[in-house]
Amino acid sequence: MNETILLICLAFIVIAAIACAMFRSMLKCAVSLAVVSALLACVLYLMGATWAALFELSVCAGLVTVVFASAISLTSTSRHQPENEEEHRKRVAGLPFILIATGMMLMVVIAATGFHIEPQANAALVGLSFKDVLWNMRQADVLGQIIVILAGAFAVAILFKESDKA
Amino acid sequence: MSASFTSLIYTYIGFPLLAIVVLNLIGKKHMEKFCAPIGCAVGVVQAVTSVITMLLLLQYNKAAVNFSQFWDMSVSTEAAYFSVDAISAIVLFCIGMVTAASFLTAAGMREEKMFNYTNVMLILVLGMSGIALVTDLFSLYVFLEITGIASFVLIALHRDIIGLEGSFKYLVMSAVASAFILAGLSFIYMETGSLRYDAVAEMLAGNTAAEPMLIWLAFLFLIAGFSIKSGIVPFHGWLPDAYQSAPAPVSVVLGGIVTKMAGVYAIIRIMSDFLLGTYSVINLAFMLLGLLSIVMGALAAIAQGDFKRILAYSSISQIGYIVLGASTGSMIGLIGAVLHFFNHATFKTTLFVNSAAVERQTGTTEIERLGGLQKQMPVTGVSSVLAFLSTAGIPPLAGFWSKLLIIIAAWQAGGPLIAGIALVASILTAAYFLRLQRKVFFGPVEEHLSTVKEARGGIAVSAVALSAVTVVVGLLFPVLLQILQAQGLL
Amino acid sequence: MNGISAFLTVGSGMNLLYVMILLPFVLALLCLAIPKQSYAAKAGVFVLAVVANLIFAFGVFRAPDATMLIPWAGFEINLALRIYDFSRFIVIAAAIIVFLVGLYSVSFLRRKEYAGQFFFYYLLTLALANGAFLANNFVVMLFFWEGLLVSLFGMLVLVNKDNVRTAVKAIVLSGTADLLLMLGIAMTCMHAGTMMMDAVNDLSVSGIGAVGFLCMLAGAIGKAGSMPFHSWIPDAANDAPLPFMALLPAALEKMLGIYLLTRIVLDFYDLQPGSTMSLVVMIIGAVTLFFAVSMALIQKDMKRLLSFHAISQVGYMILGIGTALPVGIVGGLFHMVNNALYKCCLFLSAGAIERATGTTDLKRVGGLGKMMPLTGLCFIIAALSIAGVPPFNGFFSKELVFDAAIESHTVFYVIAVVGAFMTAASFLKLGHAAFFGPTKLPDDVKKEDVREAPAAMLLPMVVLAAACVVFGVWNRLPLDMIQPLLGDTLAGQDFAGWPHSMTLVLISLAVLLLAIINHIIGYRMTGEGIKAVDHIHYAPGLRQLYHCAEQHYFDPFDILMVFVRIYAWLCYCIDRAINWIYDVLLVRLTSFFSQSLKNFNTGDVAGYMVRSFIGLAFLVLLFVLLI
Repeated sequence: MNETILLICLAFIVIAAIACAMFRSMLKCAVSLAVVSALLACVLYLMGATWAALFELSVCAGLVTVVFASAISLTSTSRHQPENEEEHRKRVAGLPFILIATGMMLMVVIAATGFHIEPQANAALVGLSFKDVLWNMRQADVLGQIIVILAGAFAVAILFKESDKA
Repeated sequence: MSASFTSLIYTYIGFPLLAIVVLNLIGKKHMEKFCAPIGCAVGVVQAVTSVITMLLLLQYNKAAVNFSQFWDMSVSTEAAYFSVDAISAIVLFCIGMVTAASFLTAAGMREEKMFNYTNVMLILVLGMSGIALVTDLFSLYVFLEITGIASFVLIALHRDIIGLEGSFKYLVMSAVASAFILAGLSFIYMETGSLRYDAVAEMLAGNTAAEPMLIWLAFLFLIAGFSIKSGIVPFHGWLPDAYQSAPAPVSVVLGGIVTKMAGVYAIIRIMSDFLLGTYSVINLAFMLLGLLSIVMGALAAIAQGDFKRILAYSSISQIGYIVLGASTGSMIGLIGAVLHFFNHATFKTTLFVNSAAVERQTGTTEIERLGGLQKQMPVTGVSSVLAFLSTAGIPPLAGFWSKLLIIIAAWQAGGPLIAGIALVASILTAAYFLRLQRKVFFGPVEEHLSTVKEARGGIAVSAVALSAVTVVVGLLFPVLLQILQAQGLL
Repeated sequence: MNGISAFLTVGSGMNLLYVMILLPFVLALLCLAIPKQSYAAKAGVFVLAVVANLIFAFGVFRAPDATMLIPWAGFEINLALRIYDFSRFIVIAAAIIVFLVGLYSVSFLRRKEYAGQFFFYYLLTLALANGAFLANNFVVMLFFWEGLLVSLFGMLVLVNKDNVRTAVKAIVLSGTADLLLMLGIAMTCMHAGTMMMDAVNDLSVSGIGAVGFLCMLAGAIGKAGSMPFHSWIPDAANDAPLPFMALLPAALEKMLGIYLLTRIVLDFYDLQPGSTMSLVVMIIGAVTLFFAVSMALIQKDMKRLLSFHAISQVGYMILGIGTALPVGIVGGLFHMVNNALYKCCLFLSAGAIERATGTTDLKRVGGLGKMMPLTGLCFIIAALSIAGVPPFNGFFSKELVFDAAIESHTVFYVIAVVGAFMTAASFLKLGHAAFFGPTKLPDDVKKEDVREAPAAMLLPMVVLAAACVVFGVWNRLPLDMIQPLLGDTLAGQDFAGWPHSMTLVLISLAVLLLAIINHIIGYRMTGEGIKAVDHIHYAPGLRQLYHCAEQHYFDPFDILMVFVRIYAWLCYCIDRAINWIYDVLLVRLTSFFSQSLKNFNTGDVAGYMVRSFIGLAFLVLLFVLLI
């Protein structure tokens, strides 16, 4: 069951990533990137790396998208123009290359990892509670997480809040 | 000793956090005018603490001091903890110094968004200090991201098109780099089950990897990721744009320390903790990348027309030297790399402060529109010359010594050809800086600049202080080398 | 006089040697220091110097054999001086010539602007030459030897300050010779393992010894003015003051060169008669004497003609010494002394003529014998000497050289005899044109103004002419001084008195007769004394050769200069090319790369990303290839 979900998630990650590369609209790009990050968080969670999933979700799916979106919203208004025929052709022509590159990378990853997708139990973590892991073993990361959230708060405050006033 | 140490080390994280809390509790209205002094104080305290740490390390003859933040770290041997060793101490000193300079510059530039700037800067300091302190690759990644996010916000601080564009480019490339680094980390994790430095080092030293291929792949991704973060050629595209588009105080901190912390420090860590004394394709890859950066950065700097852009390309070139030093895998090269890291933080910050002064006083950083400022801006002119001489590696300034160590190490590791290329590129360094000096400071005064005055206040203070560091460190360098030798490091 | 010399030998002993070097030098500086206006004071100091030098030289002459040594520069380079037969003999000979020419100069140079400087250089030359003669250490000798280049250059630029071509030519040729000498001395010292001259004995002439011998030989003959280091001398005859010609090319330089050559052949190296090296030296001598005298034959200017003879006479000396036979060495040294006497005398009489008429061009003067009888007489005696007419001194020394030449190889003898013929012919022409025949003077000189030279000028000429006669008639006097120099090599032979081989004497006389006949024929053909040898000059074949020689086509200096110019041009091209690489190519390359790199950075994120992936691909390649 888990494996099926994992495979579906991984497939969607690839599709979303390709879509991200192909979209012309910056906003769509940002959204699909967020989708990639969110799906990745799911995969991580399913594979047992809970704290990594948490981090991925908060940082990549959340904050990075926010910053992306803010940058896009602040810049795109001034430079929005319709795409002409040639640009479109160029963009579509890029698709095969992206697919080939993706395929090659996947092959490399599969070849290197042997594609073990079932969750691996980490021997060092056996017998430790979630609390132990988070508070005693990864406290540096917890501290980092706190600061990341702080940074995100400031980013939103600085890049969005004041734009309303302006 | 342990108690004094640990309490001392808490200041690296505690003091900036405290500053953030205090600032935001009291609020923007009351604290706006205290921002610069507080930020400066954070930087100075950081620098002083690191000096004391260094002295204590020397006093007690210890390689490193470990500490956990708030809780017990004896639960498991897998626990992540913070640690300070000589390299960290030097790097932390650089962070403090550049932070102070950046705040002084911000005060001198009369930064409009001082409050926001201070908050994000403090987070940036936290992120960079974290990078210097952690002993776990995943924690390193976390703090890299903090540094990255803070930098994006700082570059786009004024929300003008240029700043946002630069920020966006940095963001995109950083995302790619993060993906690479994460991929690399995951491969290593697959092999070792832990990302702690010592565990990884043990695994690499014992050659116990079940799938050596995976380790090579991991390092491939790590090299690419950290190269993007450090702006090594050919991964450097975003760097000049980001430096140029950032506000002056931000480019001081970006050029002075951020990219070096985010990328080069990690590379130095990898080489010093994992690969010291070995020579493999990883060393070769870093060596080639370093050389490419040295030459390409210097060549590209020659044709640039903007003060800050020249400095940006110069940074690429100098980062190449640091990477070259680290890539040799020998102790002497590593020391050279760390010291060049320090020197680069000093002189590049000086130059960015100078560019801020020029920007502030004349309103432009395009060198074609500048000229003959030496008379009107003597402090800026002289400190710029000192910094440039140090960059070009002219004795007895600080840059000479570190470059010398790097070139010696490169000769030992890679042969005369590599050392020769590194040496010849020094001439290119002199070439682009001479061009810069000539266009900006020497020669007759441009008519529209005849009323320009010297920048006062924070900018001048930081320029003088940094120049003093360059000269004093240069003159005391033999003593420093003797200390290092006494410690058995050289 | 006895008292003085007793004081000199007993009282000061070895200090005399210093005085020989230092006194002329100090007085030279004094000469320079005295203001220009007081010519009398300058001349007084100058005369004092040459007279004192003569007296001290007598002191040295009477002093016992001695060596002295003062540590100087370390590395075995000591200020070592030595009195022995050879230095005694050569110092006194030089002192006499220097005294006579000096006396002449004081009168000749009166009212000449450059007189003060000339005296300075003259005394400097004297000091350095004394040093070179007395030195007993190779490096010290080289020091004095090279120092002579300074005074040579100084004297040559005195008159023509704007045109230093001759001076440059002289310094290049002599400098080359000195450079070779330096090399030769270095090799000799290495070969012998010492720098003391009296410790170097009979090194073998093979391997490094051969190279060292040849280099030192070049230095010696270069100083003596032999071919191929000769070509500045005829030029100097036109440009330099006449006493200079009488002092250096005619006398002192010959003495220095032949002194060193004799030392090389007698002491330093073991030169066997008939060996290859001996042959080399003899060939140099033969070539020099033949070609120089050929050139002398056709000259129409007294000084120029004499300067070619100055070259050709040194050929006899080198030929004689080169045989390495006792008779040849004695002949060469004797010829050196004789040459100093008659050549000085000839130059001085030419100077007297120049002073009286303002020119030495044979086409513009003639019949001076009536107006300047004493000068004419001295000239004739000297000319007879150089032509080798018995019983004048030149005859005896030349016979010795002939003797040695025929003992070595008939070819050398033939060349020497042909040289003697041309010498006689050219002096017949010179004497005829200048002193006999109808009176002829330059347009701007009146007949009444042409008077006999003053006593101060006449005295040296008369003394020299007398010495020519005395050394001829009573040749035992000089030969008794020369023959002991050879030591054991002489093996009890005695060359004094009438020449031993009657056959050779008869041939010589026949040659002289032939020269007279030739002169008469030439005179008959053209009707003028000056054109007496034109039938040889303009003979088919020779005419073209002479033309080429006159155009400096055979001048080693000019040939050297062609190479120098080619070399300089090459260097210039290389320099330009290197400059071009630095100033143009590197700059262009750099700016090209910079510009392309600048253009590469478009601000396009996609582009940056693509480049990053290309970088990654290269890393992958590197890893795949090297793991």
